[in-house]
Amino acid sequence: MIWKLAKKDLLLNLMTFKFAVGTIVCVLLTVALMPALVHDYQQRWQEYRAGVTADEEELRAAKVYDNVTSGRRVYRPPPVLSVFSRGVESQVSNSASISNHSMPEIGAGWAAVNPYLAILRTLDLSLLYQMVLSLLALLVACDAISGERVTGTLMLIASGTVARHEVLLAKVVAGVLTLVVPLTMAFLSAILVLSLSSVADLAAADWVRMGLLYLVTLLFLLAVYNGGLLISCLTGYPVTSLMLGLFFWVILALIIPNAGGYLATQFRPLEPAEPTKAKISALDDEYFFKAAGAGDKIPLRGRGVEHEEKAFRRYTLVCDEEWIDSLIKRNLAREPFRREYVDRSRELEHQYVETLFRQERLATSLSRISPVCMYENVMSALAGTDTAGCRSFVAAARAHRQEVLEYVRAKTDNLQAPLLFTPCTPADRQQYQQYLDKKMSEEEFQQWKDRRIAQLRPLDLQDYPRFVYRGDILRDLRASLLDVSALVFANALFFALAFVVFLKYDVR
Amino acid sequence: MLCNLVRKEILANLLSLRFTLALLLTISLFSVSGFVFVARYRQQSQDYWSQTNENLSKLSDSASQLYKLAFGQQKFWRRPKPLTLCAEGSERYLPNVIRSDLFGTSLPATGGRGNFLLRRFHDVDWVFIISIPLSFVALLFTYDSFCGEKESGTLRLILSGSVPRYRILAGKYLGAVGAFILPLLAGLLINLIIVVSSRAVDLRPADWLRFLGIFLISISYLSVFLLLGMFVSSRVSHSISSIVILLLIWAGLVVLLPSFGSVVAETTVVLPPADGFRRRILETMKRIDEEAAAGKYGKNVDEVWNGDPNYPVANLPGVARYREDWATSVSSLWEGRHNQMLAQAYAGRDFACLSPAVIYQRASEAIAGTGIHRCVDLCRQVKRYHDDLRQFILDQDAGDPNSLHMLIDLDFAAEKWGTLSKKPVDFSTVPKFEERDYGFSESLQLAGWDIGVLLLLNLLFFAASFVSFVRYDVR
Repeated sequence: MIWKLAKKDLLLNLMTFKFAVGTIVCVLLTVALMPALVHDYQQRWQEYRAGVTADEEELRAAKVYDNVTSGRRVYRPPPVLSVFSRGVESQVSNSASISNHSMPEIGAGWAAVNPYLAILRTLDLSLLYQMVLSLLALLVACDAISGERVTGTLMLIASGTVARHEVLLAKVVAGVLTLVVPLTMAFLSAILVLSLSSVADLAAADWVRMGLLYLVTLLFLLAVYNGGLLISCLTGYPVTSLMLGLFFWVILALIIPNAGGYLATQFRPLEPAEPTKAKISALDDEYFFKAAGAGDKIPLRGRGVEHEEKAFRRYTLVCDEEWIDSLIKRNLAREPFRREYVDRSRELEHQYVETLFRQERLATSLSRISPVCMYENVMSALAGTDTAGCRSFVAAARAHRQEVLEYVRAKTDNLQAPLLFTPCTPADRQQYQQYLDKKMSEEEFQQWKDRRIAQLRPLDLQDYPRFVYRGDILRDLRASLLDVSALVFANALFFALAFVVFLKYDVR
Repeated sequence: MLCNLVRKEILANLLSLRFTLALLLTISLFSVSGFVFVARYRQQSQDYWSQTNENLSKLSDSASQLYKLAFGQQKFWRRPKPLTLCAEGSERYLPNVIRSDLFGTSLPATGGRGNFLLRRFHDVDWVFIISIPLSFVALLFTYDSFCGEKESGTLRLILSGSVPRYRILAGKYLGAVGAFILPLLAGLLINLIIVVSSRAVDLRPADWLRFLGIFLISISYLSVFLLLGMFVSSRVSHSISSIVILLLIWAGLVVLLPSFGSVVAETTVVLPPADGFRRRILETMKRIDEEAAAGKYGKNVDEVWNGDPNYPVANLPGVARYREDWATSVSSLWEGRHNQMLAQAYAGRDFACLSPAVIYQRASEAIAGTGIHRCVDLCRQVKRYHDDLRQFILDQDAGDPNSLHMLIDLDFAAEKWGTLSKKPVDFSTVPKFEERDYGFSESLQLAGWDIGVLLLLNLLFFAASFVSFVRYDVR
């Protein structure tokens, strides 16, 4: 009987004007929006590739191990599913510096993001579904009960042997099936555009994620539908239920998502960032003086010629034994201070970043009373564009930094090998000695230097640890579990309330 | 007769569910907005004055010697404005501080209490409340103006009399505006009472004029939606069809269309990647260094780095030119990037202006003197101040016979070799920065086009409703 009733409602829904308009609008907007979103993804992907290529070129050109522990950057590939939900991806830096002087930390990026774009709202597919499909769900649900009461068909159904819970279940089944049609069409068109674009290389995990995104969207639409059904059971006329439904929709979809962040900034205000920056800067000065003092205790003896190919690629081209010995000893004397500085500055920065996370968590919790926010949270978590994704990238960058430092230590006999600072060979040293003994003219030495620089071979970094960052689907699932549960609970609550109200509903 | 029609409409609306909902919504939203604004404004004012006083105290210290005034870096913070109560203009996310010394002005940066981890949200200000929830409520007031009366049969009764159709249309419109203005006024008054009674905000007479301006623009904006509702209502026979159509139009105009702005911005104006830009800066610096080494500025220009006062000082004019070139090239690269950023944002905003909500937002921001336009203006003002200060220092320096009268951005060059004067300066004569607001007439000029478009939309929808209603089949 449930199926019969559901079939009837489904057919009625499919033939309505609102269903046709809602479906067409949703599919058309998806098709219109997808090329722009894919183009945007393509740009970010190109930026990512350019960054990675530049970093690899730096590595390939490194002549000494000191070059690979400073001035390097690692990059986070833009998640392909960011077309579904942009989350905070565009607000947070997608790269991290790998250096022995600093620890990677989550940040707003170095002019990476145009701050003036804040005047524009971000658009992604989840926003489209939040607006168009949720409105369609509401429109379908709001006259499900009160509409049938006005036309008199509800009285006819209730006069038969059909139990009320069956009527309500049939309405839910019909509603789900009705919403599946535009949702599937919109998703399929999005996936089609995405797969046809040459930039998006969809892995198996991405397909699984897309499946989950689809299911979560359906769960969200069902929550809206059940909410509409409850309102329909509470009122006697479809126009009244529609008005009430839309009123609540405006509050839940437009006001609460904004009010959550707005109130969080008032309830948990942040300290200004400047004092923390000033403390780090003071620490930097303190470290500089301490390290310089420790290094200065070891006098720089001997002679050497420094060469700077470019910023962060500086090395001693040629030197005598005394020079390199004193360089290594100075570096070893500075090393404990460097570590201490990194730990202390990281602690300061970490404390500040934690306050940002606390405020963000409060905003998320406050806005969680709206199913729209729950849905948005799940979408961004599954798309890998939430704050947890950014945090996991920073954790991976830190692990990579540690690997690089250990690699350099292993390759340089615990920072004691000359190759840390100079590629100078015994033959080079002999040439240099000749120059120092005035057996070689200034001009000849200059020519020799130029030749030597041209001949210098970069380091063999075949076994150098490479940075590869991939999103972890299990972590993202764990991150979205709370919001998925909340959506399920919202569904159950709305349906239970609708059932209770419908049991007492006057069908006349 | 018109009065009777208007009175009937107002009474019908006052007794309706939508009026109660609108009243609840406006009062609650405007109250929350008022309380949160007061707390935020207090915090912002406190921060601003402590930052500004710190800046002034540094400036006063550096007036002890002229060269210190040149090298002392100043920070110019954006002043909190009472008018952000009406139109915050996304200032929370926009750059709010500019650093500057005699040798250059940095790009505007974001400092203070911002949190880049928070999803971007709108402040619950007047513009948000009116442009989104209340525009929707406006549609609820008129979606059934004609089709609803047709369904209930009252329209036929009215028209069977001698009342012309244009009077009915005018009556409906004025009745809807009259009924709708009540919750809006109630909300705004409560909001203003909260703000004024807090004594946290010092409102000047000019601010009240701007409040009035924004209120009138708000009425004009909401009137567009009331007329849109009447137009659609006169095109269909059933109120349910009317509300479905209006809902879709509203979602498209108010929510989706403005969001397309970001897509258009990122597609039409491509900002070079940050890392590529950073490499460009490094390359430029290296090129200038190489040119210096090749003798473009004469010999020994890098000897000044030594910092030793007893070192044979050679070619200081060359050093001055070299450092000037260096600073100019780097700052022009930054300026170019800044202009690209602005062009990108403006491209998106211009497209989004297809939506009346964005037109209204832009007009309100112009009247309130907030938003991106204010950021750009602050940059201009800081640059002007920078030029004034530079001229002041040059004038003061010209009077010191012991100075070499050279602008080299290395403090030890001034300290040890006297490239700039070391004489004290009277602090009261030093130019001080003060952010200047646009005058009301300037703001009105800025908002002129947007106000014009809103009025035009009103006329357009009124005419469309009239034509449609004249041909409406009331049976």
